Amino acid sequence: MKIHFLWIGISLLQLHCGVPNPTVTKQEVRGVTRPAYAPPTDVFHLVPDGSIQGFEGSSMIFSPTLTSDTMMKIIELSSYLKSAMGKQGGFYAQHRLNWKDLQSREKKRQSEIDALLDAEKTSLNQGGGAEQALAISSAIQTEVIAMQERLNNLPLLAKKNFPLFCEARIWLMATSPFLLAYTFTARPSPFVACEAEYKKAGLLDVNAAVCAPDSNGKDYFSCFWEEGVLKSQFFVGIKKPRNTIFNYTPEEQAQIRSIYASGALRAQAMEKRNDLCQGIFSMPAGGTIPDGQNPLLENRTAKYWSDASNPLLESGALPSLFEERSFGAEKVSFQDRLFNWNLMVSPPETPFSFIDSFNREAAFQKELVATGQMKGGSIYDKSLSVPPSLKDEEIRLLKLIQIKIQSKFRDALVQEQTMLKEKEATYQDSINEANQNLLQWIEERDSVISICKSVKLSLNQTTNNMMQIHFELSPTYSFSACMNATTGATVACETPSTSTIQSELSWNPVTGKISLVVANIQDASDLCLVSNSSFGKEQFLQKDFLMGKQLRVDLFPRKLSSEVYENLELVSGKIAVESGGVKDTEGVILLFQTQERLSGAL
Amino acid sequence: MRKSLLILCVGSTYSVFAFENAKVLPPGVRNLTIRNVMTTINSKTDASGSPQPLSQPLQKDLTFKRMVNNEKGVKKTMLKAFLQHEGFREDEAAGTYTADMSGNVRVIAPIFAYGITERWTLGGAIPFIQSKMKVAMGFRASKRGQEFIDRLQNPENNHTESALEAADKLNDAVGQLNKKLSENGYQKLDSWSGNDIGDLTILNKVRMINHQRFQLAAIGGMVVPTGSTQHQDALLSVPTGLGVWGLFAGFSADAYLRNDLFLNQYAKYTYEAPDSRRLRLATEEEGIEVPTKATSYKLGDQYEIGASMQYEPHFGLLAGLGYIYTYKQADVYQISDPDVKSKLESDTDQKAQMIEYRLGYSTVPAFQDKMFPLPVVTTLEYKKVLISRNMPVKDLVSLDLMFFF
Repeated sequence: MKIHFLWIGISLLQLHCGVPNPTVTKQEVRGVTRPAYAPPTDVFHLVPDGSIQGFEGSSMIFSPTLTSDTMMKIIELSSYLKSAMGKQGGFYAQHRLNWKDLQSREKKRQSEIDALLDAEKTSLNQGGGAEQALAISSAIQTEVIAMQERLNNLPLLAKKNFPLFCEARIWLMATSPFLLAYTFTARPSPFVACEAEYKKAGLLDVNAAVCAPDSNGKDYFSCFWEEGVLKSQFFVGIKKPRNTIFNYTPEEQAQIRSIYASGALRAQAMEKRNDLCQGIFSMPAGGTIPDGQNPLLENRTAKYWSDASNPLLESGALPSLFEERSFGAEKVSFQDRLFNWNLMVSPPETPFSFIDSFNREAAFQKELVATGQMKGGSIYDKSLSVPPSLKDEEIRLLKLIQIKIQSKFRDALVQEQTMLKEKEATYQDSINEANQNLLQWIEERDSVISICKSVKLSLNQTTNNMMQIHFELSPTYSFSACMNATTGATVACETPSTSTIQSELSWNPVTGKISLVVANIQDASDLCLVSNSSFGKEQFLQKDFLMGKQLRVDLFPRKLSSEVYENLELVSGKIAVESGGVKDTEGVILLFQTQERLSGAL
Repeated sequence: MRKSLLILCVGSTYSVFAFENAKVLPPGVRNLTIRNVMTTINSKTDASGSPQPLSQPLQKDLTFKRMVNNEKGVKKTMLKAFLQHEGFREDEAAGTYTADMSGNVRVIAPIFAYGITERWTLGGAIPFIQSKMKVAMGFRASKRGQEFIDRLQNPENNHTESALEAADKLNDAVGQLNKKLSENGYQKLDSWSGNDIGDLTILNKVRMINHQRFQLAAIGGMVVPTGSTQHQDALLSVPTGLGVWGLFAGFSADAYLRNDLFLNQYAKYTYEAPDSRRLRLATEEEGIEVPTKATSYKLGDQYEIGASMQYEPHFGLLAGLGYIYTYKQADVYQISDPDVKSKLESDTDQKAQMIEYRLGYSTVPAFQDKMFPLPVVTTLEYKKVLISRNMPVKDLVSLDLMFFF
């Protein structure tokens, strides 16, 4: 029996020792990447300048009976609304500057037209032509400035080819008899808008001896050849990104330099006139300029002129540059008027009628400068001078042309502004329709028990780095608070809020979160959340339901710039009614940045 | 989940009928067997008989539907609508739980038998069971899970705060699961240990035929539900009893080929009485946040047949080789909800085929020859599971020590 007890004892001992702990393999936890808040500066363009950024939209609180299908439809309709808002944002982003530019140009033109009219009156009173000439000169200056503006907005291809176009202008003037027919106190410009290009390319450098000013006057033939044609890309080779295209072989270049050096060009330029332009480079060394067109030159250079000028001409970017005007029987294009004629010294006696018309223009400009009615100076700073010596009928003709230009410009402005206004109205219609669809869809169902149709938020950063936030559920249920724009710490407002509702409005400068907590709702009479006669639904939130409860609003800013939403800055989040820290019901809030409408009737 | 985690009653890890025979004790002779079984359980077979990790029920997808169901009120509806709008199917997974589970179980079973008459032996056994279970949980977020977070954070939706909340929940999916378990009265999924007695078995063996070369005994008795069923709130708990009364009957026949070599064949049928208890009404979809209800049920009856060749020469060696087939019918629950009923009854039928080996030594012949002072039998038995269905995958080794007094 003793042994029996021994075995029982052993068994009990085993029980006492228990069972070993099981071993298991530790399991990996591989989670997801935590997202980051979007930088609030994407939407809150806070600049301490006192400017106010406003957002406006609506909020809705959902019924507990809300179904997922209904909610999905609300999301879908909200997306349409956001898309419509984003497209309008894209429209404003694209055209607001354009609109302002249109307004500014219109204002400028208006003042110029006024000046023209005033000048006309003065002219009638004084019986002279100086005022009209002054007005015309002013119009020319305006054209130059407008031309420069338009050049800045040239299509990409035109911009790319513009240097070659400018070089073509040098060739044109260098091969024109005009250059030898006149002397100037300073180097004239082949095309005023090209001056910056010449400076960049080191062409027609006024510091070079042949191009330097001369108070006694000189012709600038050598300047245009030595510092222009013979240094131009057309001559030494066109620099492309990967290689250089040579129009002339080294031998041909040497031949042309030799012709120039021999003085044959200068000697025969006046006689050969246009043939110089067409046939100069087939002239044998030391020989004469052949008559007729030179295919070599035509083939090699004409296409660059065409390439360079066509985008300007055909795009309509510079229409008024080529507006012709007449001097008697002669027609002179606008670009021909840009050669610093006031710098001309000695108009020669010449049989050529077109040169005569130049003379008259030059004389007209010179006289204006001489009588102090117009600032003289260089074309390089776009200050043109036109001497007044035109006949009355010619002045009137010029004036009519200018008025015609103004009128055309104004018509274009009106057309563009009308188009923009129509587009603006179309975008607004889309927004109204999307908004109406959403509201109507909600109102026809029992999914929403509260809706505030005009919720507003504004942010204002003052110069002392203080930011004031104003949040408004309804006009009498509004909240304001001030905080340090950098830290978000609450500070006292310079102008205390007049609201008597106890609330806490805060802002997190890192996440951009704006929170509002109304801890204990006491009077919800004017709160848009409660029953509204226009909504008129029995299940709508009642005042009693809200009494003593907590209202919480959390908002986050976000910028959308996708294809669908184009340009949309919004603030969205949640609104909830809570009691004891538990949500009784909740909903969403969606505010869009308020857009300044295009305005200003023509 | 609750039902799937339930490990088979460890009462089945031992048997009072190990290496059956038709022998009965002489009148007045008592016998005490101390049976010691130790096993580690970390897998079980499924309905098709394939072994699956014990943690398989925990290795579930965290579907978007489950995430929706974890929310309440309007937020739940908003999340559901958001998923629909963004093109997420509810059956898609935001991630998958991973788990490794293992348990160690020791059974010490004292089996007492007494020879009432020449033909009738009465026996009783009540095991003491010690169990320790442990589980390690992990989580792997899916690509869709990350996409879900990204879509929430997308400027178009501007739900960065919700995205952060969702990301934190996914990154702490195991913690969230345990939190949900705690909120619903469950213990955390970590470890569990328990010591308890199992069901009491009362056995009668009556020898019907006692020829020199053939012996037949009828066996019958009952199982008293003294053990504990699985704790409702401890998913890892190991039940020590079935929780219902059972009646069993059968026979055991020995056919002697030689004096020291016989072939035993036996069969047994156990009837499990109906009962009722409060159950959590889990479904395949939701296993945690479910109500409880008093439910009537009947566990499936059990059938067992076996045959063995046993060699017991006079010098005391005990050796045997046997085959066992067991079958348990599926449980039946009286509940109207088809999802709950399906969940409770699924995978409750069991089947196993085992082969068993025995090696031991008996001093009984020596004691009868007055050559040893004490009649003692020591055996080492090894049961190998060949095929099974819905059963723990475990080979059992038991060490028995039997005294006669």
